[in-house]
Amino acid sequence: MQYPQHLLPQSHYRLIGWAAWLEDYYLVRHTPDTDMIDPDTEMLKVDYIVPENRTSQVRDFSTSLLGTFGREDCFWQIVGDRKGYFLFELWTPGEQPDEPVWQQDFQRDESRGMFFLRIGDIVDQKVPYTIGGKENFTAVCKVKHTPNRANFWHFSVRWFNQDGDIYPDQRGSWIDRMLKTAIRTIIREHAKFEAPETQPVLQDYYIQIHEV
Amino acid sequence: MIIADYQPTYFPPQEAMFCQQTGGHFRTGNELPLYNSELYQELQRQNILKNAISDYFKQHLEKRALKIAQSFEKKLKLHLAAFEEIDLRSVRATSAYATTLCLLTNPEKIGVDLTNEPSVFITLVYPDGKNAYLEFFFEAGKTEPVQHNIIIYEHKKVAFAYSAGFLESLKAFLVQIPPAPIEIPL
Repeated sequence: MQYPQHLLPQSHYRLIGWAAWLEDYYLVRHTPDTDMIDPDTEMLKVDYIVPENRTSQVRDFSTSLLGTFGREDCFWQIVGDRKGYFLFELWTPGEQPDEPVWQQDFQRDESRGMFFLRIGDIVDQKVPYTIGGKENFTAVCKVKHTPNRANFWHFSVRWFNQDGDIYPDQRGSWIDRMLKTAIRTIIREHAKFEAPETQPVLQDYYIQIHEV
Repeated sequence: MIIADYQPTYFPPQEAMFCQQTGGHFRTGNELPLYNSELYQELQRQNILKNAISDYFKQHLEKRALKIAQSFEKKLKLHLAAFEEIDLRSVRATSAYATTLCLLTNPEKIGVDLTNEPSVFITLVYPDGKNAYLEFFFEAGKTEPVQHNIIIYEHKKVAFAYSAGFLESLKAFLVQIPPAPIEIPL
């Protein structure tokens, strides 16, 4: 089986910068299964927001831009020794990455569920923390195109402050924990379970324009 | 269901305090003038009505708290690895305490979850488009949560965010969403 070509970055692609058209598009994130609604609150289960392992996903909450990336694409799963190459190392413009090989690098998991976030609902949401009634710390939610080698449509939900992208100094720091609460709450507030109507992303938005 | 070791320390006193403060009832302004009736006043003098209503409210809250406690224990079992170095008595006691105070704000829905941080994450859904989230974090060797974050949304926008110690944040939360008259479903 061939890896879906519409997911692979191409050397003539470019990064998608922030633009107003993104507001009406949706991000999709897969869950371990379809049993994702918490019966007590009728919201997304808390366990399904941040993965079951203990790695911090606060700075870079992984999603995909729905459009050219379809709902069915959530079922593709990168596996094996080259997982780091395909998933964790970002694609750089101009690079033509290797193509994942069936069973060796990717497989299909149709038991997964998924939820959706409308970009316009979460982007620029401010979380203006008061810390102990004295200091203030405001984090602003942003959405950034962060393609990896197996998925050009990979986007990250990130937090910014007045100094730019927030890098918590360490896991378990005060800021790290404030951002974790912020990401859990914003996703619980805005996660949608019904698949939205989508349309492919216009090529003009991601294909390099060569000047003659 | 293992709930026998659930610390009951905080449940009855807080509810009793609330019932004592409010008289265990509320007035809408549209009710029949029963509060001026001789019967009502006589019952009040004898403390019969007050005690009966207080007991009724207390039972309602305890029933809700017990349901949450049972669900909490199930979830705790699934997160034991993340809490392995944490004093579970402290986790149970602080969760029960926070949950009880949250129940007094009369949320329409309430969810108490655990995360692998490790933390306890409480979700409160109110009928007027307001949702509140409380998350308190634990560390090995500490008897109290080390950090407590509160975020309140109104119509999907952040209206309040606070981060401090466990009790200080709870206090800030109760200033934002104070204990409310409790409607008991018939």
